[in-house]
Amino acid sequence: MNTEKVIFAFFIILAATLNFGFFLGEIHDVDHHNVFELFAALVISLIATVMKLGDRTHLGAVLLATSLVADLQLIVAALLWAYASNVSEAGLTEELIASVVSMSGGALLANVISVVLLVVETITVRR
Amino acid sequence: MNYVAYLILRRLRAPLIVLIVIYSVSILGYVLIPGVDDEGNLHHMNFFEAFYFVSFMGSTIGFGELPYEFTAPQRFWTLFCIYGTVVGWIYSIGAVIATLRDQTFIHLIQRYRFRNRVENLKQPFYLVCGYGLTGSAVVADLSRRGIQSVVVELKQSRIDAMELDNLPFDIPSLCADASEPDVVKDAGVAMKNCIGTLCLTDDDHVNLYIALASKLLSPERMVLSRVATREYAGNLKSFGTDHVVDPFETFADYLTNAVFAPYRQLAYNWLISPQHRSLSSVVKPQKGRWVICGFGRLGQAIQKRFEQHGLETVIIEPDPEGRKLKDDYRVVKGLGTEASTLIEAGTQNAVGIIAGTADDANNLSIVLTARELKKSLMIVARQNHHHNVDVFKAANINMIMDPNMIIAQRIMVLIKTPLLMRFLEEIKQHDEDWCEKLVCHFDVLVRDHPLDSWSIGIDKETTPAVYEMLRFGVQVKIQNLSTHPQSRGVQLPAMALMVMRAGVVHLLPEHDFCLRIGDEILFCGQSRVLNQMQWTVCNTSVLRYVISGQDEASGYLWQRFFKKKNESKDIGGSA
Repeated sequence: MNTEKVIFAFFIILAATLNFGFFLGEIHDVDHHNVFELFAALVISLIATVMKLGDRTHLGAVLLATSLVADLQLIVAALLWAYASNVSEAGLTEELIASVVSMSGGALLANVISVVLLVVETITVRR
Repeated sequence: MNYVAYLILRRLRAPLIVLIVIYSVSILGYVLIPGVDDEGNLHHMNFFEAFYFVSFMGSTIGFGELPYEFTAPQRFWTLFCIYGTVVGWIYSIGAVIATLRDQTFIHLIQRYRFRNRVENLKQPFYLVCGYGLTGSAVVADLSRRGIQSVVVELKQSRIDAMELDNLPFDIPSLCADASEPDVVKDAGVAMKNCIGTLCLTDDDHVNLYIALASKLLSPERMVLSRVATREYAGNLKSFGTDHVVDPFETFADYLTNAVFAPYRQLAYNWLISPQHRSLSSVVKPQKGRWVICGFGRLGQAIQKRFEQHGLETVIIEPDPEGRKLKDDYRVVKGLGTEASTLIEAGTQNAVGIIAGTADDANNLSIVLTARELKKSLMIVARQNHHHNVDVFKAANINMIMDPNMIIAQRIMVLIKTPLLMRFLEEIKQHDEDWCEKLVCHFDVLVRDHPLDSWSIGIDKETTPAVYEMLRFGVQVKIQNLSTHPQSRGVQLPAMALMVMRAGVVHLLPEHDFCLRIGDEILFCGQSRVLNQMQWTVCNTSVLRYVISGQDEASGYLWQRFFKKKNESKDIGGSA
């Protein structure tokens, strides 16, 4: 058993589930999307990315790429939310919340790919 | 791939995660802890405000309590966060600096830079493994001849010493174990412009490894190895190591030559190590009894040769049983450092003594004691450690055996030109009178300067001018090459030792020996001559001037100048 891989798997799956939890619900309804969940998803996704830094295997590099994509999308989502609630005159409109959620949907796809890769890697380990 | 970048990133993982965790916990705290706005209403910071506050607090900038003045619980949390973030940053920066100062990391960077520098080498180079006394002498000599080298050495202190050696080249060096094949590979053994591998470490086994790796990675590359024991010499030769240099065998050859053919030995010595030697320095030992102190590798090598030549030898050895001496040898048990042993061995009636033990102090003691017994004794001593060089010099010894110098000289002969090696083989066929004449020639040529030797091949690349002349049917003689390129009446202080034509050797060719395309000529003389000779063989108008005395491709002024000069010379009768 490789402890490093297990801990990484924990963070990758946690990032995916949190992301999924945030994404779930009506796309333009603020009440269905919890800002704390977005925050947690972003933080966990960042940690998962950092854990893949300096991995010289090909799969490790691909995992780093997918979680970087997830980070990017979640950061944009968080920026949009911050813009909507602090800068925008209109506040959290339905259009803005919809784009935040769709951004997190993109991140969710990247996270799902990470999880799939992780499962593939786990299956190929013959121990 | 770039290992270094991966290593840095890997080491950065923990500090980055710590920072992310500290920041996110702090932000979350500010979002959860209730505060009040300026009108006293309940106000929760949102993530944007919390991130803003933590960002400037974490970097200890401090814009104040934003957006509203904090309540007591918020200030309480701020206290935690201030220390938390400061500790987090100190840890992260400390970790990065520790990575940069980490020995493995530094080695990786050095390795990476070394590999890059070797890969970018354009000119031909020798790979020198082991930068001890031999290695440093060889590298210095190579640099003097304008040949690049690459150094791999196990001890960092020697690599550091190299920086102080003040070499004219920037020489890529690596502190690593050269017996690891990937080290040799990084050092460019498989590169096209690597001329050869020189295994000069003082460990036979390591040399064996390097030679093996070099032969396996690129079979046609020249490999030279020093060796201290016979078993390893056989092993190295078995897989095609091109040159195996055993300092003890080599020195035994020197000594035997010096005893039986002193002039040949002087010619030999003069050619392989360029320092000036006066004719009076020729050793003239009488044949008679020799006392050999220490029957180690040196003692055995000398004894074998002296026995073949029928010289009487007496061996002084502290452990005759352990050395498995034959019964018919005359053996005296002891070190040889005390007079009684030396007297027992008959030193008073001997012509020479060899202090050949592995201990420098014992060797010096033998030398001094033996001289007390007989003043006219020819004394040969083995010097094991280079730092004793001054003591050995002061002891006024006739022949000093310094393994490092022997190997370095041997290598330089091989590197200078393969023709020289051939010439040295050839002079073995000739008698002492012939050698004496040769040595007298040398003496006239160089006077007090060092004697250098070099070879010139007649081909299109290295000697285009001569090649062109010969193609047009103009006769070029050897004396043309050794004529001064600016005044053809003057002969340069150099002589042709040998011409190699289609595998046939012409020893000491006459001045009017006519050259042909494909000839290789071995010259010896003062080292400055090589530059002047290059001038003649590469520049057609210089060569034409040297052959015919005419300088056509020059301007009016030059023509007038040279005409006058040549006229005055023609009267002298050079044609």
